[in-house]
Amino acid sequence: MPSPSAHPFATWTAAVCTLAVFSYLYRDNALWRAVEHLYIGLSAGYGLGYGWHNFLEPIIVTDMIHRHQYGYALPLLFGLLVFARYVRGGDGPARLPIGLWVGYGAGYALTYLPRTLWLQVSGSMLPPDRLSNVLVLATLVGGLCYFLFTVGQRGPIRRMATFGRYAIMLALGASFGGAVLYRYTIFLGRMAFLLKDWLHL
Amino acid sequence: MQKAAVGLGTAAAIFVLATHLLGLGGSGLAAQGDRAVIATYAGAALLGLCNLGGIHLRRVAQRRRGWAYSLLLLGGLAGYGAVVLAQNPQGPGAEWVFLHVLSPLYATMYGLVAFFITSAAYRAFRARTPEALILLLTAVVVMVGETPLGDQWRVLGGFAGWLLHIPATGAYRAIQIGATLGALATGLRVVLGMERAHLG
Amino acid sequence: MGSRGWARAAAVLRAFGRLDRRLVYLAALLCASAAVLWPPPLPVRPRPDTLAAYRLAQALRPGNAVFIWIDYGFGAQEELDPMLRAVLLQLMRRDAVICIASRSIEGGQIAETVMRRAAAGHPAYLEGYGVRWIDLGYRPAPDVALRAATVNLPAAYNGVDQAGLPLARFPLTARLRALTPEFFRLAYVFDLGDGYAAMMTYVSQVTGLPMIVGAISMEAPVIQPFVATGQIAATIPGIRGAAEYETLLGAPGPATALDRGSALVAVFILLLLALGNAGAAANPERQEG
Repeated sequence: MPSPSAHPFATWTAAVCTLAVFSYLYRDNALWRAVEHLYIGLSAGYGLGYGWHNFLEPIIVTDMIHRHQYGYALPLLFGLLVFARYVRGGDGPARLPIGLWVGYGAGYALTYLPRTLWLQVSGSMLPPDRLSNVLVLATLVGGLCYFLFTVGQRGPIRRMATFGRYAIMLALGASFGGAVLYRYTIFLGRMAFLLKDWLHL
Repeated sequence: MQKAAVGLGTAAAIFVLATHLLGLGGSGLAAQGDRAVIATYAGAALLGLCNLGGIHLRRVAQRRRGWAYSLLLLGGLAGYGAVVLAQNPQGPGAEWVFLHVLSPLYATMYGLVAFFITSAAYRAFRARTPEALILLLTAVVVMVGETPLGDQWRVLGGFAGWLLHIPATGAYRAIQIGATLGALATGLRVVLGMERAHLG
Repeated sequence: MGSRGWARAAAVLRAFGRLDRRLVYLAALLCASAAVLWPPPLPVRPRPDTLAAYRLAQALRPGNAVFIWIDYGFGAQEELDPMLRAVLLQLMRRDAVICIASRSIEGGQIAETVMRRAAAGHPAYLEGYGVRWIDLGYRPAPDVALRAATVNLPAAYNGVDQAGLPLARFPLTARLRALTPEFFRLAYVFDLGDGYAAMMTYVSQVTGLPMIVGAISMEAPVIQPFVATGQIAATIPGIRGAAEYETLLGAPGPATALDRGSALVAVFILLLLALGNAGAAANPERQEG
């Protein structure tokens, strides 16, 4: 975000960018398309420079060239295999790093999620001495029944699933209320910039 | 080669699991593995950039519709990329564009959704079924109760807090438990070599 | 009201229903302008969630280290920047050592900007980069980097900071060797909520180091189950939480202004919902698109 005390040129640049995006609300137009493409280009440019300074340079220049730690050459080159897809017949080798990443991610999920899951389940088993504890458990069981597709939803399970559906609607309603506030906060922030920092109203 | 990729995935998953189960999760071996994987990502980090550049270069070369926008995109990419490369992400030029062009552009794009929400609230959000009515009423209570108006109308503010802390907690826990079980099942399928969709 | 009165009201509501969407946008623009220029002067009273977060940070002793994980980009800046600013102000008052890392590529620069602006009244921090605070920036595979950080923090970030400068040159690096309770006292995750990934990663992988989540309003209900089980020590919910934090600090700022403006917005949306539903009830045969 521009600082309220930024140079007028900087404030004007940010204001023009803001208005160009808002112009889309009237209809799709050339100015909107221009800033849309400019944004993508600039983001990619930032990623390029950032990637060099923060991922590649420390490994290639510092670790490999200065410290002679050539061990990192292997994973670096392995990662570069994804570019093999640009070469005829290179689709196979390009899949190797993807296989590694997905496998590593799966390993992470299998390693760390069970504990989180257990804490969530055990945290729901509260003594039924308070209405709130009973309600948390009831909405949890109802919600789980609603997502139960492996057995037919009949009898008590169906009633619980119906209750669960209402509970999930309630939860999504709470998130929707939050979403309205969140999106409007962003909008108010942009308006505050235009009206106060730019127009000095 | 697909079999090799599946095998590599299985081996990677077993490595993470085994180092954890053997109590080596906080050890040098696990950290070396993590650093090696980060290095492989670093190697591939520019793939998206090459794809993007390739697509728009072709568009400009073939003078396809909207090629001028592609030229602008490529100019931004090359120009700003060069600036960040030459300085660093916090160099004066790099930071100026970051703060006064990139940030307002994207924040405003996100802010546009407020208009669409407004329009939807007026035109589409109808309480036609009991489910829609519950969703609508909860949204209204939370939306109003979570502003300073909730402090003025204490009952409303208290009710919004109760909704968030009690029934919504149970319902979201059900969604999270479902999602976690799904993630675990997918992870297991990857380890067993049954999941291959990501390999094309 | 007689039958003619009802018919007239229904006709007005039907006419409202046919309004061009751009007129609705214009109404939103006017509402937002009023909310910014004349926010209702409503008091902001801190609630238990925010109070818990504030008290955890108040318990810090001078020199205690705090880890801040940024998981938001430009899209959540308007809501989370004021919250981050308020938290940083408190941490600087507590004389804490601050270590920032990011889960999004732009998060490092965003946090750095907020930190430098917040440090304007704290010369020890303004001049104390590498001594009082440090910004490690973003690394690819940030979740893997987080686990690696629990073993060796500088190595997990390739030995360089956000600007690509070697960490070895900063005295702070020698003190903050790993993301463990041995070196840190408290952690924050500022979460945009793309499936609450950052919060989930943290609660799954880092143990023993209490974490406070700064969440956008939309995500506040989603993280409640984790607060209830104690996996999250406390939460600062949305712009209202940020405003409450500013009140606790005795320094009303951008969050307070935005929070007060949101009261006007809530009434505006409520009015639209009521009008829209009344219009639909008055004109039941019309198919909504």
